[in-house]
Amino acid sequence: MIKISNVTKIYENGAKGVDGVSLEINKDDFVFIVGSSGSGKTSLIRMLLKEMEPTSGKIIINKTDITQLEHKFVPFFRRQLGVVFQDFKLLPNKTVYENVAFAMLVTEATGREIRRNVPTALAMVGLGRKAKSYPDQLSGGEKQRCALARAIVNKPPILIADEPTGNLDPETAWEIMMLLEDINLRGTTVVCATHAKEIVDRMQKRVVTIHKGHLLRDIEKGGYGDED
Amino acid sequence: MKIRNLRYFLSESIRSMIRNRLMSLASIITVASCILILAISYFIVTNVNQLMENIGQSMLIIVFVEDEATDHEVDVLESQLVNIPHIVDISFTSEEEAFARAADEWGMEPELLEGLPHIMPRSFSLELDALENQHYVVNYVTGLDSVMHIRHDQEGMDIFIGISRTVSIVSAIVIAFLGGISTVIIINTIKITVSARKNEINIMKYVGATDWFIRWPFLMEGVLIGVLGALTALGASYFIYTYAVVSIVDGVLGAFFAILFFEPRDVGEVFLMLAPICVAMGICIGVAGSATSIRKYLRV
Repeated sequence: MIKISNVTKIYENGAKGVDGVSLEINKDDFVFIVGSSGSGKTSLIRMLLKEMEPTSGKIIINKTDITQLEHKFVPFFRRQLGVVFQDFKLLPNKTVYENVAFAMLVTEATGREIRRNVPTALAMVGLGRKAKSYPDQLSGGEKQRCALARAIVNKPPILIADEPTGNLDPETAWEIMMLLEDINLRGTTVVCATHAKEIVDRMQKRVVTIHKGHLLRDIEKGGYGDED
Repeated sequence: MKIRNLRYFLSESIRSMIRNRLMSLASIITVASCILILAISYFIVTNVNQLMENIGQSMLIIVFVEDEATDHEVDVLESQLVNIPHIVDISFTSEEEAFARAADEWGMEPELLEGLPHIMPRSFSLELDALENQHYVVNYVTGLDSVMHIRHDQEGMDIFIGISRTVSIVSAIVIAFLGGISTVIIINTIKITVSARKNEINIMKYVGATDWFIRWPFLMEGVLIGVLGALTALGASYFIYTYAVVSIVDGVLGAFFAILFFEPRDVGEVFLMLAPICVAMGICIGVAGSATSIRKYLRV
């Protein structure tokens, strides 16, 4: 599903974000990408989203080499991904319902599809009763639930989460992780960059550790600092 | 573009304008101010041109006919004059009419002149369509038979042609300069609006919106700002022009302009010409401002 081959990212100032990383993520996988701040995990996520180009190497997602993808096709590629960020990235002037519906609207879904799928997605993340609220009327956890609903409303095969619990208290963070697991169990591949050690240790999923831009470890099932 | 999308884009533009009402208002006022200045420049140019036209038309070319010319030859000359391009009106003055007019000018009683030979020559008065064509017409007429003498104010004509040309060139430069400044101001104003919404644009990109899907509401907002600015400017300029016309026709300036045979252009006529130009300009400025401002935020 995702194949990262010998990817290197060197920034304009000469700093290496990622150095020769190769990685394969299969359908239905739940993968944590862990590492300290500045380790290169966010660089990797940004390249997966085609927000940034690798200096060398290939990234193939759903049989498409996204390093060769023309700018005009990028929006269509992104529609195959659900994305969740640490800072939620919700449209402040739209209600919860409109924020989620917007992800469908850009794909030119019909009104009927939007009316059918949005409430389902909101119900799935437990936000059905907050549909008419605006982001500034929500708690951090609710904002992330809204972002999750937006990420899954188009039923993407892959969900990429960049520090989804970074701004949340431990209890809410755990609830969000449970939602991610639930989404994964429904058949969505989940790639989650985090440095939430407790959660990673508790969930016992595949853990890929990046250190100073290099792939340090790739454990099938384990915790944050586990060795093979 | 689908109709459903068009509805969405339009509602987004209006919502955004209401949400950022202060910035929208600032943009509309800026567009309106720039277009108002242009409109006023246009009023000045169009009326100066009108004035030049009036003066030019009042400066007739008089073609005196040879005393020996027969009536038939005068008819031939008239038919030749009628066929010369750029002459919009011809009037013939007979010996008697010329003599009576001269007597009237000299303040003599007609009875005192009875019995005297009519020494005034017959003549044609030619009115031209434009001052610039005077040389052409004079050269043409000089070569015709039965023409004794041509009277025209060459120096006066040249001065008026010079003034007319200078006014046209200066106003074209002023309008181009103001147009350029307006566009830059609008682009900067809209840039601030777009820059305040760059996070919003980023989010749209992340959920898979195409560049055009993001661009359309901004472009429509630019169009709306441009049209509203143009309409505001037109409303203001209508009152200014009406007031100016009233001052000229009825006020103190009336007597001064009457000497120059000047009548300001009709309000309706001026606005029929000005309104589409202003609205088109408002739309162009709004669209150019939005399109330029949003471009750099789309490369995410």
